[in-house]
Amino acid sequence: MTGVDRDGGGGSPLDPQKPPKEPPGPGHGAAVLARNAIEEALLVVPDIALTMDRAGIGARLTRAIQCAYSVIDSHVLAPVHYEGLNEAATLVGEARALLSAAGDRSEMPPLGRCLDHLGVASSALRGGAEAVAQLQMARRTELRGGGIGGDEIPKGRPFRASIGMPRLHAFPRRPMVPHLSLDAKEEIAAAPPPPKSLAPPKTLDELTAFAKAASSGELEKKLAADEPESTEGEAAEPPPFAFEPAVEEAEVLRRIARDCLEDIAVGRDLRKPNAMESWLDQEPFEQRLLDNLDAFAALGGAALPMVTLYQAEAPAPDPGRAFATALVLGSIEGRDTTDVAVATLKQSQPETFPGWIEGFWLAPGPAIDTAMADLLTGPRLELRGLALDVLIARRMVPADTVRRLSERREPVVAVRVCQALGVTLPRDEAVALLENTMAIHEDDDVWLAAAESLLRRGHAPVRGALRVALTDAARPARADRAAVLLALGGHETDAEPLLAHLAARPTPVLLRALGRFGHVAALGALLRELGSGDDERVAAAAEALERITGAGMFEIVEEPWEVELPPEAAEAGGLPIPTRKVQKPIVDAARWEAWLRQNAGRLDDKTRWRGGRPFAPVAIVDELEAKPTPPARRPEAALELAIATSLVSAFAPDDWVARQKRHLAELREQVESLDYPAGTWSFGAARNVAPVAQPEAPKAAPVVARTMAFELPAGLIASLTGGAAMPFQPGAPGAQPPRPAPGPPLEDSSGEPETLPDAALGGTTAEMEPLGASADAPDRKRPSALPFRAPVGPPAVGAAPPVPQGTGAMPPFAAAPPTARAGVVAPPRPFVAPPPAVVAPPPVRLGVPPSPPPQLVTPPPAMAPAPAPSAPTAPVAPVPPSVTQPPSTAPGTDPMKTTSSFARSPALGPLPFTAGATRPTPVPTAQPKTGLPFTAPARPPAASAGPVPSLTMEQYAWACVQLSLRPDRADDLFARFGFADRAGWEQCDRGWQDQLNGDGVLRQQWVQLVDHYRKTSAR
Amino acid sequence: MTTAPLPVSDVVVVGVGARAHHGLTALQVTMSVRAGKMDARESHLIDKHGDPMGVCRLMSIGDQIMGIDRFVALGGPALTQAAFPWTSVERRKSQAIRPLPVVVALPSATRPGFDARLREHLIRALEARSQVPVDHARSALVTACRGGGVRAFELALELVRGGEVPAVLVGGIDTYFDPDVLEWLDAELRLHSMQTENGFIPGEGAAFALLMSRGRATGMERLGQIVSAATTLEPRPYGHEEPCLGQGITAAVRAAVAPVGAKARRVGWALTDVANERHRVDEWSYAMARNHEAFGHDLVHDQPLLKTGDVGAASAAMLVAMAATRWQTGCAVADIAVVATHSDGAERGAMVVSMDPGPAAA
Repeated sequence: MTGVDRDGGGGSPLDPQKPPKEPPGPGHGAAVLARNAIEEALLVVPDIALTMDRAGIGARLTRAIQCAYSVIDSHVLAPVHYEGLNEAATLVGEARALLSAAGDRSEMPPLGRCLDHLGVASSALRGGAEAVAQLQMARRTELRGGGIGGDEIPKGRPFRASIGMPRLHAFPRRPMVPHLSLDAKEEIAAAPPPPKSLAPPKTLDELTAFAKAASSGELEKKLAADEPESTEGEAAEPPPFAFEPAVEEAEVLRRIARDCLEDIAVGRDLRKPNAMESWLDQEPFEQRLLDNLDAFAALGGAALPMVTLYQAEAPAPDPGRAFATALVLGSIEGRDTTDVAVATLKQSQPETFPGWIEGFWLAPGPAIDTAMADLLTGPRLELRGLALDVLIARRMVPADTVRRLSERREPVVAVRVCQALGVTLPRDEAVALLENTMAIHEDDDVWLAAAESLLRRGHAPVRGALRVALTDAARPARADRAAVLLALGGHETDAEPLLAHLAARPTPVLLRALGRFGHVAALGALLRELGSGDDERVAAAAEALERITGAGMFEIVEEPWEVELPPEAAEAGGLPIPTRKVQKPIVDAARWEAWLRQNAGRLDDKTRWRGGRPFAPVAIVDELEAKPTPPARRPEAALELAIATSLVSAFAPDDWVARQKRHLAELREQVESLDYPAGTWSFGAARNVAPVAQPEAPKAAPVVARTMAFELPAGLIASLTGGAAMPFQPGAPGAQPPRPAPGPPLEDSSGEPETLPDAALGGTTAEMEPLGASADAPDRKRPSALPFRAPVGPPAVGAAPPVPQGTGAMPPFAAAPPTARAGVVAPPRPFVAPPPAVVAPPPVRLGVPPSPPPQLVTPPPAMAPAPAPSAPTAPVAPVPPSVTQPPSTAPGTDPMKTTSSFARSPALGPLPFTAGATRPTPVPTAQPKTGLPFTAPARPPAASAGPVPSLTMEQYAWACVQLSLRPDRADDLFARFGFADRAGWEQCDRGWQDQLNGDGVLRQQWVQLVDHYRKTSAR
Repeated sequence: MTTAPLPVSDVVVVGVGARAHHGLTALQVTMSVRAGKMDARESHLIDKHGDPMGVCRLMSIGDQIMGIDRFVALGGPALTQAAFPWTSVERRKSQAIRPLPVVVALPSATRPGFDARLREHLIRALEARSQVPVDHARSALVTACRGGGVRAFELALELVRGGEVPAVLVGGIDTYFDPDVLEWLDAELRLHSMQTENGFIPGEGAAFALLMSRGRATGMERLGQIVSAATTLEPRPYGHEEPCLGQGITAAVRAAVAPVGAKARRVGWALTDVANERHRVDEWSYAMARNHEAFGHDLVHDQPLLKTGDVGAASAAMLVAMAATRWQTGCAVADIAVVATHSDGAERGAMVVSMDPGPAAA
């Protein structure tokens, strides 16, 4: 068969890699368009709550899809090319007729949509058939191939077994069609029973009797009487055989196929190591999964329909079944199998999406990339997110797609675009887009994803933004995760702010990250955490100590198994939970203290330590390769390696073990060739090295049908994504991040030269690279500004933080964290504009009752920051632990868990996205009474304590919008405009309202301004 | 294991076919075994405890089909598949397909339930079912249980090496799904059940291989080669008064591995018919220990019959078909394998098969 890709560019649907001999003809595009439109129509049919011949409609439309594939898979000069288009058009026409007869499209919108889809398909098919007919007539002497009824089936390839990774199987078969449930989602009201009828009298006697019965009333009674249910027609249960009769051979294969599918679905969980397994222990389970995949593929085409049936019969949303469907169909060569998988996906519950992502990610089919690119143009946001997840995991995001999607504002898309930018597009272009994202996005997830990707791309200035985020008391979650990223990619001078943050908000993730940071200054804080009493933090601190020192301080401990016992177990008196022996770092603070007393002297504070040796990135490769490395730590190590080296690798810690081994071997070779000065906090070592050749990502397929059906109008897109109304233009390489055009935004910390506080620099001021500066600037080493050296003498009495009971005096290296110094408030930093509002840290003294709650201190207008985008600010005086919220241990607040990464997103996230999360923040609707977009203050007018500044209409409109969106930051806003208090603002507000109410034109301009600022601010 | 070059045999395998309860082709059977598939289903036959007997049997053959009909239903498609390389080449030459001799291993004639019609009618019935022309004059039946499977290969090797026939189809067919056989096994406490641990799970299957001389196999894909085959008689088989010390299978293995070196540690893969029964486990253990110098240190002992159920006389051909298929599909554990079978009677057999050395053999 001559292969022409359904998008017109590649091979046949059964052999996408087969090069076409000629460019595709008009029939191919028509068939592609029709196939997609028919699939959309099938997906709408369940929404039609009308009684109709669903089976007949389904049979016709699936047959039409098969015809479309025959066209796609045939040469334009083959008779089947024309016949397929014609037959498909006929079938679509029949289905339309059945649907039209079912009801009125004006009363049933889904019916209208379905008919519209079929109308598109019909038009495409008939137009294509006409064009093909003319072409074949013109070249009638060259016609070749058979008709649509021919038995020609594309040949497969010799079977090759999967070893370590799945093979792409190709066997002779007919095109596959999706199995979609067409049953109505809503219950259809039962049709009224047909009127009773009587046999007409055929003889004169019967007519006489009929007349007599009618006159006597017997006929009426007979018609009114309920007819007894007839039992004659019911077929009795067939007597059971004494033996099992034969079944068809195809049924034998289907049963084996189902068995294989079950094992593949279970294999999804089995390949994930449990608490006592290492990543290498996954390999036998993966091979078992692959054995089942091969066994399924060996069954051939007869077993293929079982895949979608297996998915459809799930009693509840089952990610395992979704995984099996995606992996199996993605391992059978051909676009049709992938299309069927995607069609099944569209009918799946969101709970199954993690399984779909994993399956598509791990499957070898090249058609998956095109299918996911198709999904990106579809109407469903959650499917677009899924498609991005798959493409990112497969490292196959088309560059054009990333550029296009980088303008989207939905966090669910923006986060993934940021992840993609960590590995795709030229570095300068990616950096510019990521900086733009950081500048315009308020969402923490998006911001942090962009920051992480900038770190991956070796863009040093992003560390300045992270330092600022670290001090942002208004965004504690962002600060937590920024601290982790900074610990993985920071400079030695970041030790102080990191330790300050640790003192304020200690989390296990940050403790582990400090272990990777490798600074001697962290030893004291880690030692103190051993006495925190929080098991997770204690374990993380011990792990971090061991990671820095390499002391070999391990012990064998008995850990209980995590077993779920039934409720009856409690009633039985409590069953003993089995334990297991595991080797873990010692958590005894005294023993660590003793070790450090003896050995800390050889660890200097100018060196980054890893396992007692000066750090080198190859140590991370060792960690990733080592069997004892807990699987939960490997994503952290992979992220650290990416940040430290900026190497773009397809390595993922959840990938097939065989592929991981190959990638790790490649990484080791690359890392060992890097010129990385050992023991330093160097960053992005390979950013100036020529990038590793990556597989060519497919261009986004010009999916004609989907684009026509679902692409939003350009104006609407502009209104959603900004378009001309965007205050920021996408950043060009090397350009400064854009700023909002009118009105000063409240938060824009980028674009200003970063200035480190001289207190943090040991009395010197160092300028950081601006975010938009050239990324090739060398990573300057700065002198340490830490106030403590290791080892030093014991701190003065009264200046030490609370010491755990029984630990005795503080060890010499246990320097007190800057935030916990009793009675010490961080000195002012003259080079840094103070934040608009800070929480003043009360003095903490041992043995003194807790201080009263902190007060929100609003700086006077004279101290208010300039309205221009704020410069990266230095760490503000951190909040002492005694007045801060306790660290949250909820999974959602774990920065490492919530920090998106390529490796983790497909497998670990419970749900890659939620529909609810994509909804924009509700904006107060216009008040009918006044027409204002926000609620006017109802408080009685009060006199301001200070002067009331006058605002321009633009400033007033911008302020109104900000107040409606961020009422919690009203004081900050007032201070920014020079209002001494709320009363001043209210006075100004009243003046403007009076003016607006008296001038209709002015009011109209003000409303337009409010609308404009709301759109720009909402982004 | 040493990395000595592969031996070059004059007899190559150019086609295989198989059929068992979890696969209708050699590829399906091999991949199902590799994936650990097994589906022993209860039947309408009841054991002495009143429990239904479980048998690994093919669902596409009704339970009412027994005797020669079942043998033909099992063996015909496998024969067609194994002969396909030959028939396709012959058809391509636009000439009548030349008949081939068929050597079939069958269960022992003394086994209860043995259908006497097999002797007279099986070959012709297989020919009719498979549509493969058969050279009846040179065809043969070997009724010697599992060990007879290797004996069938011995006969086939003689025919191929004799040079009078272009190719030979050799294989085996067996089914334990027969009331008399199952009753006998139940009575002998050999039927694996809740009450009988030291028993096997009965199965059924058929497998064939198409053997040709290397010189004639030009232009055909060579799936493997038969290096050697040897059969012996065990002086103290199962049921003997004296304890069995595995002398028969030891001698058979020793003779089979001789061409590759009895002390060469070249064999890395053993495929045997060992399936649960203690006496078969013991016998193979003795043979392996006594011939340990022929096996590599990382020898893999495969027991596919634990997944197919015991396929009796079809075992040897089934194991050869599996080895060839795994070499063909790239998932074999070693390039040389020993195949060993143990009859219920005295017959013991061993073969050495290997990957085809490829162009080096030429």
